[in-house]
Amino acid sequence: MKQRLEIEDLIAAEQRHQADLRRQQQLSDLIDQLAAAETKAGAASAATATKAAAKTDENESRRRPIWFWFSAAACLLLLVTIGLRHLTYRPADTPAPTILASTDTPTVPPVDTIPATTTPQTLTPSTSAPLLASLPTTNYKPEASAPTEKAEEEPVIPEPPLEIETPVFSNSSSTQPLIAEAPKVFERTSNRLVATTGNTTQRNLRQPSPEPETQPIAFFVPKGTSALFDLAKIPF
Amino acid sequence: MNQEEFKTNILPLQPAMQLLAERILGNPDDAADTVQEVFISLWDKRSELDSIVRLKNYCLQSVRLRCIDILRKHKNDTLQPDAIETPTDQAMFDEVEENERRYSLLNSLLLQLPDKQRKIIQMKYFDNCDTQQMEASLQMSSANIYTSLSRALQSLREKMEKAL
Repeated sequence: MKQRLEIEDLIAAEQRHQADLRRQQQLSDLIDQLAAAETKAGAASAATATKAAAKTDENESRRRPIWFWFSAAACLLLLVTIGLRHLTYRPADTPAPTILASTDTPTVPPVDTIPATTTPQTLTPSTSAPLLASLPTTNYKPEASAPTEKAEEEPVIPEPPLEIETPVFSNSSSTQPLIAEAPKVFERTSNRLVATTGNTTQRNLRQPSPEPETQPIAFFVPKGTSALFDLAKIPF
Repeated sequence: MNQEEFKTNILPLQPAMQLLAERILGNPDDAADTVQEVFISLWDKRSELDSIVRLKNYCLQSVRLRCIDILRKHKNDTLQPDAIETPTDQAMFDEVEENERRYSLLNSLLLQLPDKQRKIIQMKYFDNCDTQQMEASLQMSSANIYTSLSRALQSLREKMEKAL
């Protein structure tokens, strides 16, 4: 009886072994199917993973580190500071505003800015207009304290008449030829001097004496005084 | 762990896993389903299996925990895992090894039987054929079939006494 049971156990073991082999084969097929399904889904999942990785990289690139924002803020502050300095800075030799530099009508600077000359006869009131009109305006540089509105209110001096003759009038003591044309009034006065004193006076007018301090007295003819009275004061 | 390595290292553990599940659940069909679920879970985690040193014990422990979960779900939710007596891993391995030894012994004994007696044993015990099917297949009467079967079993007993 014992031997018979052992034979049945052996047969049962054989049966179990066969069942296990079949089961293992089924599991092997199942693993193959799972691997095939993963291989098919691999491409789609790889594409999805690529998109997800790209999105992650994009988010990472958007998220700047804190030192980046500090550097950007420092650069922005530096640019603003430089811009403010540039706006508030005005050097002393700043050119005049465009209203004076680019106007078509010639404007005359203030009278008090004309350089002083050693010949006061050129500053007679009746002759100031043509003299000032002949001054060059391109090299004019107004003072820094002079306001722009004041320059705009200056009257426009008309050009001198064309019939005015240009006298021969040398001014050796002045570095700039201020007198380009002789005024009519002065010409009339000189004619009167020529009529009274003759060639001597005319020569003196063309060639003034080397002492500049004596000439202003000779050529200054105030109104209302006679020429003879004045001639008596002239030291010839 | 790739597919071939999985088949080579994990699939041979199926008999022990099946036997353990049967011992815990008491039902071969539920045990087979549980073992299949454990195999699918192991396949999903095959990348982590390379770092496991005692792979056999890990597989059997997975079967054991899965069976306990099934018992708690169907029988008693408050059932504690320690309350369930499960065979140890070594007992499962020993039993599987004994089955393998018996299988190899029986295989060697069957190879020593005549072809007709071996064929009758094959159809009787492994193919589960009835007498009519054996008569149709072997072209023998039922009396001759049972006589040959009894002689084959007697020969096996004698050879087993010599082997044991």
